[in-house]
Amino acid sequence: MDGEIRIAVVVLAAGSGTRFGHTTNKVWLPLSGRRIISRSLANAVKSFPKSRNILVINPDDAALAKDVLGREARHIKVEIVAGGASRHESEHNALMHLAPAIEAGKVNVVMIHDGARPLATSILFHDIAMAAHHHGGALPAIVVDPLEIDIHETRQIVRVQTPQAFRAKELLEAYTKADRDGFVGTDTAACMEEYFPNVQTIAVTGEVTNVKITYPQDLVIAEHVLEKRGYKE
Amino acid sequence: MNEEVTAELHCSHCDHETIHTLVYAGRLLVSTTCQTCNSQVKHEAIDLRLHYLKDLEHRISTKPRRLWRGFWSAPFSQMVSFPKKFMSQPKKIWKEIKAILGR
Repeated sequence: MDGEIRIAVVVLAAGSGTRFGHTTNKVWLPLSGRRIISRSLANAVKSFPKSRNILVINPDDAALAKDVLGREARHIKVEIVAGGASRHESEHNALMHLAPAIEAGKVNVVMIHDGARPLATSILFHDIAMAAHHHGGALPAIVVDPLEIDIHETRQIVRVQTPQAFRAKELLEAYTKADRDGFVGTDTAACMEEYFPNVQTIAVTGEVTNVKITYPQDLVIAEHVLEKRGYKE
Repeated sequence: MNEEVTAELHCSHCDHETIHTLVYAGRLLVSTTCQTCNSQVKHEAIDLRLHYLKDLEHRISTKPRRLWRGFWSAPFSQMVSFPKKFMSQPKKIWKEIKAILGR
């Protein structure tokens, strides 16, 4: 670990794009007056005033992103990066964008967050970043009752969420090697585990409210949570 | 904010990603309807009306602050768009009320 944390926050929003008259990528949906992605981004960067902030989008959403960020996230300095066909490819593109800063030591931790999780609190982002800085990697996890999976299951099962953070140099190297080998991980941690199994990844207690907007019901739940929080975070 | 939006969400009835129509009243989601199977998710009616009233109160009470912030960050465009926005408010709120009562 080297002294001060110099973090880059990457928020993934590169699902299928929004074309005029067609469907909207769910991260651009309104949620209690602001777009889901604006909420995700605002919470992600709140604890890091000096962070580099990367938003990975589908190139089809470029005009929408400019409009939404201009209205809802004016105070956040955001760099836009074009995403890929998969989550892994989008992460790779973001890391390649950050590569010069990582190699120069200007970024030593990279935190990757799914833009469809607008309820992760700034405290969770802070805890994950600090754990990654100190130990090498960190992710939020919720313990699941194994009986919910299988009545014969006795092992402890956890549900992993985002944000996931890792030391920048190892993460960049892992994605460079994965690109060379054609390896595609399901999430950031999977790629790190493949290439740096010895890097300690700490499980931080996740937040039950940190839902990923997937089902229509999730939007209703998210509205209720935001109302209880007074629409802050 | 749009009143009706379409987006791909996972329908628990169809059990795959389908196109949904989402209807909003102000900041609140009124309903989502799967375009494949027509299954609908919505707030309970009374719950939604109470939520809407609370939300409207919140929007009105925070409006001066939001307006001020808007004027501060982009004074010219705010001055140009303000009269049109102001005049359209009654119609906008009436449409929201209709969406809530008429669903």
